[in-house]
Amino acid sequence: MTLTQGVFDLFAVVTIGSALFVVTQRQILHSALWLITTLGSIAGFYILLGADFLAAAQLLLYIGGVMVIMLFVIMLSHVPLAPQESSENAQWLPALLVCGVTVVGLGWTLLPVPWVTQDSVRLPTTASLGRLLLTDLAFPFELVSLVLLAALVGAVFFTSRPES
Amino acid sequence: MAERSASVGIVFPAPWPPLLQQCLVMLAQCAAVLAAINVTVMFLIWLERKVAAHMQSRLGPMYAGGWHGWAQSIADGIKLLFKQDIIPTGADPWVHHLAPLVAFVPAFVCYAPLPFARQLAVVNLDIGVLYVFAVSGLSVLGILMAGWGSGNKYSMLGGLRAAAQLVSYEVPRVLSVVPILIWVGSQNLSVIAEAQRPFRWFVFYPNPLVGIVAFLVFFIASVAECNRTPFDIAEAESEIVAGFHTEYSGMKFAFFFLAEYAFVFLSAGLGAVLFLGGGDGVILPSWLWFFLKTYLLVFVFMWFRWTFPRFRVDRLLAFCWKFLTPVAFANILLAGLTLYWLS
Repeated sequence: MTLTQGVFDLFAVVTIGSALFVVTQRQILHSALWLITTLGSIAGFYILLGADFLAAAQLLLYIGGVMVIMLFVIMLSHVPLAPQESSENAQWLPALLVCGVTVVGLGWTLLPVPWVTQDSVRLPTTASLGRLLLTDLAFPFELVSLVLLAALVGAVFFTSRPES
Repeated sequence: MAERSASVGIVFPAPWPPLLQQCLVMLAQCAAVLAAINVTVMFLIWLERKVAAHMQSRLGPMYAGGWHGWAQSIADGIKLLFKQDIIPTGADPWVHHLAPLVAFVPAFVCYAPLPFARQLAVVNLDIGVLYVFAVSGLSVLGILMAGWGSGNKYSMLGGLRAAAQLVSYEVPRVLSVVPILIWVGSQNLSVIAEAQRPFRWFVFYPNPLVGIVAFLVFFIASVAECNRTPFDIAEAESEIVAGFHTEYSGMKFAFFFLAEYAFVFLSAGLGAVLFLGGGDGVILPSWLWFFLKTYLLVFVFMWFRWTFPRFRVDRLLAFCWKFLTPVAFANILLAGLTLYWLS
């Protein structure tokens, strides 16, 4: 077992374990904290694969941005240490079915693929990513920006109170 | 039989596996950096008290250690170690315990790519700038956890305020650095520092207008990111007791302070590397130049704190979104135009 394999296994255990905790915790804030662990260990996978820019972006956007906002919303809408909510869900049977179908489908698609395994390439990825985004992928990149801008304008429109 | 490890001259007996040796060397390096930062932070706390005192026509600490109270921070540290660790009855124990750690660790991990002199960084990281911003952004989680885990409404309000503030000021802070990334074409902090030799510091070269505006936006946003006055609404004493760290005592309280001052020194060091040429200067060695520039910026941090009154919450956010962010965007445009005209 090489060091890389060991680190990969460690991250895999942390990712899956914390993801399980996300859905089994009764306190919603604890779920959110476990979700942060999950997202952080996914950044670890990116580093193992040599995608340093992606890993930093994962930390900056998902944990520093999205999850902080999520914690903000939880703290704004929940009383701290309120009576804990039940983790039982009335719709557990349909949920189980959907999850089962997804797992079987993913396995059926992914398992037969002959994956190319190689050691992680230690290239500076930022420059090549930037070049791609501003040349070959410029149009999809701008399109995504436009969609995000529309979402922003929409959010401002819906939250602004009409002038009385 | 003894083998000599390559990077530092530590002697290991031969049967030790190379992996263990590597780990031990890394551990020694980490311990050295950790100790250096802790001593710096203790010095900064003493300095802050002295600067504050002299700005208010006082003397500040004068007794501990003899000469101008130099040992005051050491005495305080020992006192905090011996104090009782209080966990409120209404607290969420795990979140309460982990919060100081989550606030404290990113502050230290961030120092990895910072060049303390020419070509002297712990890690020569290709994505240096992005790494520092990404990791320092994790620290706010600690503040949020402290706010929630204490089971106290003032802590909670402090945590909420911190979240709103830090997420907002992260935006102009990152954007203010983009002109430099455009000019250098690299995110490696050592490369950025090297690109400013000799005396082509980005604050006035190649475009003084863009440089100065970027530096000011970066500096203001950094003060806000460190949660320091005039942006310290997360721990506004006159409104919410002590904000997120109301319920903390002893060493866990000290961890929040260590994190704050570690971030102050980091922000000043980043400002020195990004805008003031890092270790660039004449006569004196480069590490001394770096520390001179960094301590100058640290002093301005303290000067801010004892000069400006605290912002109101809504004005604070309006200032960020309606002033700093548009200015930072316009600055990026100007930086691009500068590059276009120069080439």
